[in-house]
Amino acid sequence: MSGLELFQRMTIEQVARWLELSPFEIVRILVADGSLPSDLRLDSANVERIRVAGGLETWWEGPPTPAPQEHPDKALVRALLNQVVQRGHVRPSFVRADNLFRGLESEHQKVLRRAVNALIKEAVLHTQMSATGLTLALDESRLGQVRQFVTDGTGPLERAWDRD
Amino acid sequence: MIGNPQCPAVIADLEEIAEWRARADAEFAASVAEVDSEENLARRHIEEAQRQLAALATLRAELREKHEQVALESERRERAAIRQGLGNDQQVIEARASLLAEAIAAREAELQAHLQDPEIASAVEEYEKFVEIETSLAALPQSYRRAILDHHEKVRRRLEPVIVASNAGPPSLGLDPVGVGVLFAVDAPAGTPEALVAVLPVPSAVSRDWSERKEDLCSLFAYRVVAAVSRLLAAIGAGSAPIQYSDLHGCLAIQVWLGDCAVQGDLNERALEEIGAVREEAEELTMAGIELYGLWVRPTMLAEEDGS
Repeated sequence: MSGLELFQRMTIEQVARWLELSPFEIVRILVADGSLPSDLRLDSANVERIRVAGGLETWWEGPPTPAPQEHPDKALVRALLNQVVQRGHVRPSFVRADNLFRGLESEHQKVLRRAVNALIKEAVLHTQMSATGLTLALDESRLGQVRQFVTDGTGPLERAWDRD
Repeated sequence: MIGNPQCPAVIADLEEIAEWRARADAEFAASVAEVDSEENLARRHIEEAQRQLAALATLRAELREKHEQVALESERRERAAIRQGLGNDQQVIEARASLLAEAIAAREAELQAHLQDPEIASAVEEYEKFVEIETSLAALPQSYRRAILDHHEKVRRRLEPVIVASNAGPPSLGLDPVGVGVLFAVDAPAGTPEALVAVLPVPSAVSRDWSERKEDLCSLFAYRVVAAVSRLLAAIGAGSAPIQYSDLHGCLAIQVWLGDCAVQGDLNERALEEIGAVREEAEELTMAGIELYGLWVRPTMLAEEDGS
């Protein structure tokens, strides 16, 4: 950072890039929180409010290492479902949908988005809208199957995540 | 037999009766012929009237058909006018977005030049170094940390005019204000609303391609209306209603599904209030000479033309 940027408060677009959210989602979160600045310029306190009020979390620092003979995509999906279980996002505890992907490269995000769509169709995951965006949670009755798939990659979900 | 003195009187009587009968028959025949004639005339009049009625019915049907075309043409013209209005407003906003960006760039270039002043440049350098180490300050001994913070405060005070100028509001373009409209439509127009759409006179790229384009007046315009729609939804008990952003006639459309919400209050009035609040609050629009208005239209007015 140099020059004027050093002193300027951030634009919504800059914060959107930083937080991997669309600018409109930033606006919706700040409105729901009642903290949208009238000049649409944001400082670090606003960014923190977005994180907290929007329930933003970064789950990934990179893709997982696949088990021997395991396809990397399957390992990624298992790791995702493991995170959802570990964080307790079983109905009625919903989580921001974009938390599931934040921190991953776009190619890995693409794999997970496709898998999440398939799991929604299979009713393993459920969606719900909130004032701050789309949220997801596991179906409580499928928890056993999810745990089995997370543990050893077998069970009814072995192929369910890979269906279009 | 008349004048025959041998004929009984009754014969004469009968002959008189026969004559009377003949006269009566003749009168009857003449009267019936007259009635027949009148009847024929009346029938011709009726047939003529029926032809006229049929002609009038045809004429009425033709007038109705023609009037239906007028209604369709009126709707077509309204749709075209709305599309033209959106296009014109979009041109105005985009033109002023360019002018505002130029004005901001010119102001920043001046400030940037000011930063080259050796005394200021030195303070900026110190300020920048502080920002780099700020997060690690907590690990330093308190006295050392205090000294750094005190020094930074002095540097910050020296740079205060630059900091203030860097965060100044948008410059005025000094142009005559132009009114631009955000169009709202709700489906169904009467009764329980199921879907709301707001059409903004800015390109849909501000949503779709936001990561590839620089934030400008069009983006800020869209943020303002997204905020207004979010406040509107919260106010009518539909805060969690799903929102989608799409393209309509080259403009950004904010579509909201209200079918799963129990909408409370006056949606129409509240929407206009929120747009009014944006008009008051949005300094960048004021400085660019953009006056924002909300306008409700029938949903069919926003529909695509058939075959277009």
